[in-house]
Amino acid sequence: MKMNNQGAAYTYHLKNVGLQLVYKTSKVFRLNPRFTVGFIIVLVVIILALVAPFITWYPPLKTLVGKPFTPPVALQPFGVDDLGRDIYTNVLYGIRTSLIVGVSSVTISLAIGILIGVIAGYYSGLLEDVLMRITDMALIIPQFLLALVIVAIFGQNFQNIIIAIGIVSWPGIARIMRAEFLSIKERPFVEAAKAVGLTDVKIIFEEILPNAIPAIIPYAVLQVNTAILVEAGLGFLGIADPNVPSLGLMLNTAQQYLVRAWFMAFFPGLVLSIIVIGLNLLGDGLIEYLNPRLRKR
Amino acid sequence: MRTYPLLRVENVKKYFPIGRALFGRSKQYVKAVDDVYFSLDVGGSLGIVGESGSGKTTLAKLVLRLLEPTSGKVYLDNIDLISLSNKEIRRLRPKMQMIFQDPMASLNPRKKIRDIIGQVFKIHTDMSDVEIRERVIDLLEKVGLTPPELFLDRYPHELSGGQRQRVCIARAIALNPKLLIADEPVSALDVSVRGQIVKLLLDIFEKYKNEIAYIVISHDIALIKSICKDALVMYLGKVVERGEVGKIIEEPLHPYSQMLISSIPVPDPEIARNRKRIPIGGEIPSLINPPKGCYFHPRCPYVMDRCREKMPPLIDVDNRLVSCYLYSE
Amino acid sequence: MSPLMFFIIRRLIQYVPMILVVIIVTFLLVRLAPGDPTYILVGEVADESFVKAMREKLGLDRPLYDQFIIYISNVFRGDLGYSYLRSESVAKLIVERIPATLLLVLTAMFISALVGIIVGTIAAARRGAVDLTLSTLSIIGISIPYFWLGQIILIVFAVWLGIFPLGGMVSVGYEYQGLQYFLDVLYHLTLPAMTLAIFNIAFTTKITRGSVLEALTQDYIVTARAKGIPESRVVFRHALRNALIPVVTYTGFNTGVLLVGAILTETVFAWPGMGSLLYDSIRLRDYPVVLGIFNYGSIIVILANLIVDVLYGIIDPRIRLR
Repeated sequence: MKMNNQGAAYTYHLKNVGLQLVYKTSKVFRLNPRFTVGFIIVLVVIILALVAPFITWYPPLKTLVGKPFTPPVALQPFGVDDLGRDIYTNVLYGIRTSLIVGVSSVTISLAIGILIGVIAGYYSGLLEDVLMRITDMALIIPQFLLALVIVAIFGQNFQNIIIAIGIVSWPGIARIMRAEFLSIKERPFVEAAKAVGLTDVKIIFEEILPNAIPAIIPYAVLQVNTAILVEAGLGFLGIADPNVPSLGLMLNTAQQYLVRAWFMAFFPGLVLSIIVIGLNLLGDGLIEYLNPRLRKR
Repeated sequence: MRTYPLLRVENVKKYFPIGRALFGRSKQYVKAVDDVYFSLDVGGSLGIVGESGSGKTTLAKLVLRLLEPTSGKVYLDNIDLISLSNKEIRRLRPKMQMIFQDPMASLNPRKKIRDIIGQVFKIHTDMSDVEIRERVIDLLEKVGLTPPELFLDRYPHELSGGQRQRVCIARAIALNPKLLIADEPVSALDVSVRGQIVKLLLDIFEKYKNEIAYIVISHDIALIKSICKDALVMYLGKVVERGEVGKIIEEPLHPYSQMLISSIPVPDPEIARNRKRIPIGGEIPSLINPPKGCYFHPRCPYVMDRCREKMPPLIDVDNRLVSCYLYSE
Repeated sequence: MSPLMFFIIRRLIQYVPMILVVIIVTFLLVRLAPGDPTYILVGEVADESFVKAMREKLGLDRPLYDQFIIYISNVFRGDLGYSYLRSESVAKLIVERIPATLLLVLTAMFISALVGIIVGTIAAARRGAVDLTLSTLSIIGISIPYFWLGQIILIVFAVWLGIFPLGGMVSVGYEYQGLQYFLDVLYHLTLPAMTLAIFNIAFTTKITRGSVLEALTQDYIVTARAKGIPESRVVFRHALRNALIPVVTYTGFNTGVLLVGAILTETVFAWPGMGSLLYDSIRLRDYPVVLGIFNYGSIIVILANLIVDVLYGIIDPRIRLR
């Protein structure tokens, strides 16, 4: 008899937990209009990128699908560019490129940045000092220019662009990680973990890191944003992989024909702006969400 | 049979350098703990009393080697803790545990209770997950968290203050420590809950009387009286009086102890009205530049010339140690 | 030695290594690249004898250490290499362009600071609908890539409406002097400066708003109000003064971003500054110039940061004493 009661009580608890979770998550959206709008925009963008092959009818980068410089028409809703390529198709595939570049490069910078930030944050002393100096210096060097030079020198292909952007972006992440580590390190539960006998490595990964990650997430989102802008900027200056559809590169080509074909510049840039706005709202919303929550806890 | 005390703390000092001089050496130190020594036997219970800033928590951390002493030695079971390597100390950790001041802050907010306690077993034993789960349940019952299954998968923020402290206690006794230090075990809790936790601690101490020695740190001397047999009164990092708690309360020798005792509220209005009231004068001076001579002399109603010159040594008066010139004849 | 001097020297010590780092990084990058570094340093030049001469001059046949010494001494003498394509020394090409870029950047900074601070203060002072609109606008403003914005502005105002010129710094074919020249430049400056300014306005607005909001919650504001001072004076005279400090800092340290923005904006409007030089050089594969711009550009940004840092120390005495 007793067993049954306990079982029933536990299940009720579970169901409640499930509902509670749904309630709590929806609260995030309700209280934070900016976050919600950003989230929706980003979601739509991602979906568009995923279904690109299904909602376009020309292969990307294929030339002469229409008469060059045709303004928006039914079959080519965004117009046709100077080489006869359909702008609509290339814009949609360009979204893919932007997203891939954004996420991949941020992954690289996260890997480097977290590593350095963790070491600098946990181990004080000479090592930390040196690492922090390096990080601070790296922060002032204009990232865009550095990425530009790296790609220009090492070759303008897709991988290089991703690697270059990843490499120039790590200092910001390292800095945040270090700040988080410094503050979490002082909290009593870390000391308690030491008292229990955890090794340093375990303390870093099991105790501190899980508590530091929430601080990084909004920053990572904004970093994706920056990466996308850098890629677009590079493309605009002509530094891009010619075999990959890129919104920035499209703007580069458009620059020469601004007078004749406004649509060559308008649509790619518009889509780019929407992506950036969405990510900005998302990132900002995340920052706002995490702050009061920490205080409430 | 053991011929040596379980815990021996000898002339331990901890000075924290302050300020960042451009080239390393600071001129000033915070003397958090200044030349403390005591020893504790199995079954012994020591209370450390003092105001905040007296160095009690630092002392506790030094004993457990969570901090490195600037000088001095700590012997647990005749093993010199200071000379051990990091690895060796880690292996010894389960034998000397601490319950921290703020139960919420000393639990990892992202870990479930079962993992927080289970962690101890994972690190120091080869027990299987099943065995660990059983031990954890066993411990939860011991500290009064029933039904234990309900607490396994909860997170610290889902528990009440008292429950969290019980978890901390469970974690501390998990591997049968020889030395248990409780730092302000009930200050962070609601008054209504304090009694329960104190009772829990007493039960545990009673049960393991023959294996464990414990130290309780608090600013509340009444609490110490209910749990400990002996007490150490600290002021600005130095021990000013030591002896049996009951005797210290009844008849405090050191002027500082007298101040502390007289501030304890006494329920009987007759006694309260009639007892000798020594108002606490002045404030704690800074730890960076402690007064010359006896640290307490600026606030002491019995101050003599001697007191301003040199720090009085610990003098034995009737099985008690007092650091005061009043008793040096 | 006064603490101010001490502070300035400390800062100098901090910043000089950064310039060295930039130089070293350039050096290493070129040598790490696949292929013969000669072509990167010299450019893709067909003239064999020229290439050979440059090789010798830069010491590319000699061990790394020697190369480095040569390189450093070159940089400090101001010699960044020679652009075969344009038959000019790189340094000269770049330095010629700096004034134009500076004009653009400083104008934009000035406009954006002015507008941004005012708008931000208003947004902070009047919460509610005004604030919300302005906040949203500023988020949009920060997000829009300025090169695209420039293109759209160019299309709308220059191509369709014909109000402003299509680009360049001066009208072609006319030889204006004095005041007319000044006005002509201004005329051409308007669109690019506006474009560059918009991003910064949004940024400045956001920062000012946050900063003023915080200042308004302070006690001395309540006191001022209690004294009966009219609200607008409370906001502008009292709150703003203290709120300005973080604004100035952020704006100052943002100069680096502005410079990069300038580079991109110049390309859109064919404004003859470092930016369009970069664009052309990339197109023509004139690598020595590209590298030179990276070097000089980075150094300018670092110097700008240094100046702001020192100014900040002068304005806020607390920083000096650290």
